[in-house]
Amino acid sequence: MRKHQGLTILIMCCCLGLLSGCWDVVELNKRAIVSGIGVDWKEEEKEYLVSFQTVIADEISGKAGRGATPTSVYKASGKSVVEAMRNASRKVPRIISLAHTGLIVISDRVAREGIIDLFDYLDRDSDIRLNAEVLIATQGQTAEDVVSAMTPIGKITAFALEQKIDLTSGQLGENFRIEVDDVIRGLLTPGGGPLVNGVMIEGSAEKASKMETLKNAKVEGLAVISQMAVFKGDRLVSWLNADESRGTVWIRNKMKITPIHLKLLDQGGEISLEVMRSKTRLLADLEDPANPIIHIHVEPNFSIREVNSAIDLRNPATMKLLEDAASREVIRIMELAVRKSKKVNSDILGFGQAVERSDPSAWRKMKNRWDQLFPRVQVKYHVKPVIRNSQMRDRSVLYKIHNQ
Amino acid sequence: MLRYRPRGRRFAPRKDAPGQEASRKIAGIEPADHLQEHLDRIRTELGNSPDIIFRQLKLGGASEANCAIVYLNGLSDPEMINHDVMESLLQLSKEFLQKERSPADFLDMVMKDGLAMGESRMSADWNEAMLAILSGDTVILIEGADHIIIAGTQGGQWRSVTEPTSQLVVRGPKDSFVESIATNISLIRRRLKSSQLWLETMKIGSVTHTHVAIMYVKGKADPGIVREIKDRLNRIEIEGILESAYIEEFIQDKTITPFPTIYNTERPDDATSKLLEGRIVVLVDGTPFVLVLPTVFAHFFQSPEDYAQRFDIAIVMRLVRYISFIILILGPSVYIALTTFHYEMVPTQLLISLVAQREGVPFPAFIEAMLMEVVFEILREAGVRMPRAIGQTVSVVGALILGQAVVEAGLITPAMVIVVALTGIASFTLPAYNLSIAGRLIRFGFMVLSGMFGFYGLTLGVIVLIAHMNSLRSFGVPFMSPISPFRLRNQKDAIIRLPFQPLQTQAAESSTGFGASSNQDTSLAGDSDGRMSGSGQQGADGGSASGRGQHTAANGAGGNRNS
Repeated sequence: MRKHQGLTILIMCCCLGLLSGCWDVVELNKRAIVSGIGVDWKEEEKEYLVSFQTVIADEISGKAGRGATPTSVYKASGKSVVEAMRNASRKVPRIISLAHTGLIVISDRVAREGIIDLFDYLDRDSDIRLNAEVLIATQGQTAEDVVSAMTPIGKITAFALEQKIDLTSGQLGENFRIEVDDVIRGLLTPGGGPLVNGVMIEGSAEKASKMETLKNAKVEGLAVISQMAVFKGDRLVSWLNADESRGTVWIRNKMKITPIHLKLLDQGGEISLEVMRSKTRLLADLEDPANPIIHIHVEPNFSIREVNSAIDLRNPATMKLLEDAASREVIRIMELAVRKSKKVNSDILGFGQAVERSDPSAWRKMKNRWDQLFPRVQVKYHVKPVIRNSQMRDRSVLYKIHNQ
Repeated sequence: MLRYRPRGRRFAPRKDAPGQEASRKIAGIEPADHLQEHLDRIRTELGNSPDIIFRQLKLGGASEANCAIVYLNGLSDPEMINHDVMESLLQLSKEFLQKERSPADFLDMVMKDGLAMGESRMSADWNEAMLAILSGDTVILIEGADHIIIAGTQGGQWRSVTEPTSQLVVRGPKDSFVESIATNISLIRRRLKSSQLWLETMKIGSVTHTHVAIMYVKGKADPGIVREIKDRLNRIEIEGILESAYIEEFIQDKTITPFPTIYNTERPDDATSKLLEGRIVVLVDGTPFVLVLPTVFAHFFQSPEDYAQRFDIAIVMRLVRYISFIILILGPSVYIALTTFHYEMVPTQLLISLVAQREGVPFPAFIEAMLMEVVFEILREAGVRMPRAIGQTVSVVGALILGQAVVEAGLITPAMVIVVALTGIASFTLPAYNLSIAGRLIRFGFMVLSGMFGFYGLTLGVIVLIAHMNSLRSFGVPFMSPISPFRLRNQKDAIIRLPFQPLQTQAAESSTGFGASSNQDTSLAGDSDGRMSGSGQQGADGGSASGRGQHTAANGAGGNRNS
């Protein structure tokens, strides 16, 4: 024994490595990859109903596809998401793996009850990513409907919805990406709450979940991004309309591209501008701590996209006129957003943050009273519009007809 | 045919090396009166071998002076023996021979005036004589003399200089070392015409008596390391040396490691460039692979091609080699870790595709990887050892039949085939074969680690590997220099290869003149002595040798090729 001590120790060390086994090895074919989670509320049992949109990889890229749907939805209920997930193990043959979850849909009903416990789970779980997209299903629809819907372009609804949000925030400017961590930050905002994108099924939710819908050129049911939902604390209190959404996006400095429609009173006709890029800065004026004033500085750059009028765009005075009109329109849109947020008394616009930035010590004092202060906040708008170009033409054809 | 002659015996004569136990009793040649006795003795000692030629003749045809020549047929050059030895012996002046002369006079006369050869010497050592015969020299015995004459008539058949087979370049010299040490030395000398290029030889192998030569550039090579090499060579006790790898194994620093700590090359230009960097080249008779030492890790990634192409391209080529080495070591293990432990790190689209591939594959990823890697090693081994005519069949069977069938049968995922193929190809990018086999071995260790512990194990493994590589020394020079310990000055030819201009400046900074005339030699010698005493005499001493090792590690390789 003594003689072979070194050898024995070596062999034992090798065995030690083998004894530990393969730690927590899970082969890929023992995993069910979840792409999206839907959370609904079961009224009778007072339980969550969690729907897992799982990827059927075979149907997406394998050779062994059976022509079935690329995703499959497993439902399970429980007092918490974890319980629901464990309950789902009766139905799913593989380990529910949430690390690639790109989308979390919460029903309007759940959101109105409060989402703080849900987001504790999402934040705590080691698998779920903090950059998963969060959506609220429109009133009257369930989250399950959304995660069950098929999508004609792309195969997995959850990832398609993620892309839709990115696209529409860049193209329309009525939404911007809200991820799990954004929601958690929103929950922590004094006197405010998170702002979450909405989602709805356009058409029939029943048909949207069927493979047949993909065989029609006219899709009968489609998950689309809708306006944003406003929370106060952790409860959903209201939905924004289109202009309010746009104003909110603008004030939050997330505006990229958005169309603006102007009616020309003097010359007659209409003109459409498009915001090419825009920059927003919030400054707080705390001279009177009881009545803080928020200055919103916006510098939008416009491009003229449609001219349905005989105006002469070569004239600098006309341009000035247009810029003034655009500036009034921007202010109108932003005012709508401010009015709405004051109405629901939820600081979704980041005014509190602006105050904190300009005077942190004052903010510490007024933080707890921000609920009372916020509705009384005065807002001053400073818009510096610039019309950068009118695309390929200056005057419209109408101008020539009029001046002939 | 270039003849090789040891330039002076600078080594301490080995006490027991050239000679068998039995013959040590009769170390000298007694002044035997009878020539025949000597010849008989040679004949018996060599086992009455029929290829030993004994030719008795009389000097100048005179009857008194009997003499004999002995040589080994096949190893010696018959032309030379006939023309230069026999003819001169027979044409010695008859008047001189007719007078009464002592055997010593004959000996003297033959040496001074009777041999039309450059390379001949007298010896009184029986063992030396025997060795000379066995190496192809001709031994001349004279009746009654107490010395013999050894005439250098080595010859025989050697492979001629051809293109290198293991270190190929697109552009660059196309010659390669051969098995003859004399030819190899001449190939280096032809490139490096300097009085500073010093050569020392010795014989190693108690049975084979293989010629081993050390070459270095005096004034550039670290004298401490030169001494250390000679020490280690002298300590070798082995019956036979058939390849330089035998020497390599004996003289390398004693560490358990898969990494080669001595570089070998079959390219004379490569060896020369290393000489210019101040490294020492060990040539062994009978093999085209010469050893270069001390070696650092970066050497295995330098190809002579790097200096034949533009430097910007060379940088990219070299980076590709470093990346390939990492892929070679970590490729399959990263794949195992990603798919079995860290599925969250794979991009979603890729993951879905991998999941689809894994559907219905019976083996866990680890077993799958092991299987494929072993199959790949089998294929490669078969491909290397196969007769060249069948080699193609192996690759066709391997690549097409196995690769495709295995995927179609659903035994292995296509992604795994890609990973294995990639590691296989990556292993071929390294210019040095011995590093690539080291990488192939380490790869399996990493696969086990990642199969058991995922990236956790992989990370620990990499840390251990890097620590291990940093602990290696090649003749006292840190293996990883100049990367670690990091020297910015010496980075010019390590990971990247800068243009010749900075390379040359560095060469000029770090060494005194080169190719100098003889009166500069003394100053050079003085300089190197000064360095010796200044910075520690032990070549193997890590600290002091490392500084100099790095100093020369990066310079010269390309810079001096310019001149």
